[in-house]
Amino acid sequence: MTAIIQAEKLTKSYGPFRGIVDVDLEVNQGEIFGFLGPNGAGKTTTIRILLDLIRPTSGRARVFGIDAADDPVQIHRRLGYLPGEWNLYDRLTGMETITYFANLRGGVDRKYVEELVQRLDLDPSRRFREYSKGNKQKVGLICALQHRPELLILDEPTSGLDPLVQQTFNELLFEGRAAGRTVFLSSHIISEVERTCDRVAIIREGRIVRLDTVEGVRSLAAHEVELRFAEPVAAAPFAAIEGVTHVTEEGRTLRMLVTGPIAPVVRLAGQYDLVDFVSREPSLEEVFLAEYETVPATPSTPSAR
Amino acid sequence: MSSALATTAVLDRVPPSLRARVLGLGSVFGKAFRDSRRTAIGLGVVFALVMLVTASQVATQFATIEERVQVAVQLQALPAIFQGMLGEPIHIELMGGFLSWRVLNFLPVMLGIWSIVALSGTLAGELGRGSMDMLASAPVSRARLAVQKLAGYLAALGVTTLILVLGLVAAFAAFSVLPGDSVGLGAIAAHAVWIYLTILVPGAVAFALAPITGRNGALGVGAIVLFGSFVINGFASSVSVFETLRPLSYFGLTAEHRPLADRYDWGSVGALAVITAALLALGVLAFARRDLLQPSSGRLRLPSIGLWLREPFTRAFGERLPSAIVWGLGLGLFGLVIATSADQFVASMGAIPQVTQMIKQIFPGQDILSTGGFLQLAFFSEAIIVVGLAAGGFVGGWASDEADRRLELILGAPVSRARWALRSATAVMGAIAVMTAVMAVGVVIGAATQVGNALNLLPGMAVLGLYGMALAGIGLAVGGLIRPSLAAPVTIILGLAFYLIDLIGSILDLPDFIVDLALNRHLGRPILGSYDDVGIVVSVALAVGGVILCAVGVRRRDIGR
Repeated sequence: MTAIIQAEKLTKSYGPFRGIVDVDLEVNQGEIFGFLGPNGAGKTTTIRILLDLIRPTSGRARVFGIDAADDPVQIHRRLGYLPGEWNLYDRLTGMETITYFANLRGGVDRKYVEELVQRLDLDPSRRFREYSKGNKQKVGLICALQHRPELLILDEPTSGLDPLVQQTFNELLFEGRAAGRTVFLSSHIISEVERTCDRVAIIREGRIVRLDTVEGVRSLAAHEVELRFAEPVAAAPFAAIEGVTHVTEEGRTLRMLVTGPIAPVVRLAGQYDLVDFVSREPSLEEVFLAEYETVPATPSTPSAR
Repeated sequence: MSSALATTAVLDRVPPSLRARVLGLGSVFGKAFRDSRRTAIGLGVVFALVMLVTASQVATQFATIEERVQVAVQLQALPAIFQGMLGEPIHIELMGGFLSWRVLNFLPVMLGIWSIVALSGTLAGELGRGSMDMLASAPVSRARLAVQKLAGYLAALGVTTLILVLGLVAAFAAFSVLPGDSVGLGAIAAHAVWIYLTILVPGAVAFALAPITGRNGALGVGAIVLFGSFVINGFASSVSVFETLRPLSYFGLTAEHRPLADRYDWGSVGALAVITAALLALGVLAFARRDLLQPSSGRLRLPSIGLWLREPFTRAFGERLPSAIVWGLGLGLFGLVIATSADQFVASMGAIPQVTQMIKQIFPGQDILSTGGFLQLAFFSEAIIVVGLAAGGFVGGWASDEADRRLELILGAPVSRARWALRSATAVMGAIAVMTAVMAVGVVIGAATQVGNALNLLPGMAVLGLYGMALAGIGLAVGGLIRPSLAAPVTIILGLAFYLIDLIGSILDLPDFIVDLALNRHLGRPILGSYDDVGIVVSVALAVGGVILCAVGVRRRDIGR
């Protein structure tokens, strides 16, 4: 599997402010990689280093095997980028804006641009300053997608888009993946990442705290298990099982959180008169929130952004 | 797989045409040039017309060699302080010498402002707007991006200069009435090189600093370099400190290169070209090497107090206050230097009886040979330009509330449009008052070293501030009634136009109705205690009326134009 993005011990400080700390990442060709974290966690800082818009304090970032600081032009030639916070030229129309960014890449396939305009339902004849937030976002997406880049780096891409356009956007991502393109998608909208991404990294206070497939991240998290018995059963034996926490007793029902293998719980429950067994897999959102409800991983440093 | 993906993209693409690359959206250069072309052509046409009008007036007003020699002798006999800050009059009896001295020596100041505004924002403007990240993610290296954006402006300035050259060619062809008036294309081109460079220098300073200080800091330093160099060169013969500093002034450095007056000094022009190129290269390198972040320096910080957050007036006033203090400090420093040099001026002028006699004829009943007189001539008449620019800056800040869409949020609160407009526009006037007060402190401190009661100068300072408020009032009215994006340009253009009309109007005997349009001609000589009552009432009416009209306009029109 070819690594498209590689970050090794990537660290960035803004004077006394923390940006990111020892970020290690590897994004492979043909995957949609989610980068999750709340505001100020370091998502945008990581992305801006990958694009050589800012330089790391230490560590290395490579895209397409090229060091980001060595030959950013070569990297930019092959990627499409939509920043999280941006604005463009008020006096240009949507189409002029798209054309300008196409020209900076030496031109693009105009038929594909027309197709994107149509699919995202954009009126390209209006001036940029007259667009709503969602329409501006569509212009940005088309600028990022129009040259069919090998790698798409998208920072909060669906901000301001209505659900119908979001669906079209997801289709575009899946089509890109099917064609072997890679997507690095930063977001704090967990459902979006869960729906679209193959793998996900969770960044917290500048550090990567989880990195796995979406399924993997979920499976590592606690399952919510509910056991209903014919008669009341003592909670203590269940609480003694490794990986079982938060056991509560309510009449003939026991509820608990199970992290890791569930078989010991099933075996013990089988020794009683078990009426019903419900195990619910946690959503990515629950995993994410659980990650952020725990104590801080490192001494707190003020974040820069 | 990757190469297959790339090949597909390359095969389908339609590259931009050569025309688009040069004149349109086909490249960073094309867009930069496209963005500046209207301004470049407009400024070129305006100043080409100024050259034609001036040349025609010279030809008709001074049609014989005797008349030319007479006016030249009169002008040369005046001490430098009465000649304006235009440097040495060289061969002003000839058309080329006169145009060079009276108009072209001041042109780099007017267009230098454009250069500073454009080049300080070339890259910092993209960062401030939020478009830099997308632009820098295109496959164009940062150094190339900076060079192309810079080249776009250099080409635009080239267009302005070219139009000016055409205006000069036409002026000499049509109005060279006396022997020696004709000037060859070579001399015009050689003069144009000097004009191009001197317009560019302060912009190059701003361009070099903008990646480090941000746009505000770069604008400020560029303005100091522009006006500082001009003032130092202009008053070098009257103020000893300026004489010492003259080698640092780029106007002083190149003062001997006036090809239209048949004087050449390519060495100084070459040196200036090298300095300018180095500054531009520095700006490119700084941009290429630094993180693409908004620099946090370049702006005076106010203490964080609740007052600035109380309501629209205090918010807007708090926003404008740091700039008001900086503008005031700059003007105050200028006034301080002029005021402390007054004794030298009085002594040197008083030592020549003919000059004393001439001054009494020009300014009957007024004590020009005094600290106040010197301040009126050397400070008031020049500070007028800076006050106009400052007023434009404050009005621009006011307009940005609407242009940057903050106003929509503000009006989402229970604040009426008229209330916001009245208060935020009044805050502009408040900022001008603060600037005037800070400036007055500098002037009064300087004057206190020369005269007993320097506080007598304060009403004169107040009139200067009132002039700034009148200009701001016009800008606010236009911004409120029509659209906010026009407010600052109208204020700045009017300020410069008034100065220019005053500078060349009388000597060219332009019709009274044109010369009288200049508001600064109707203020009297307030530092000497002589006031033009009508002018002052008109200024008050423009300031107050402007705020009211601004509120009326904002109440009626669509928001977010």
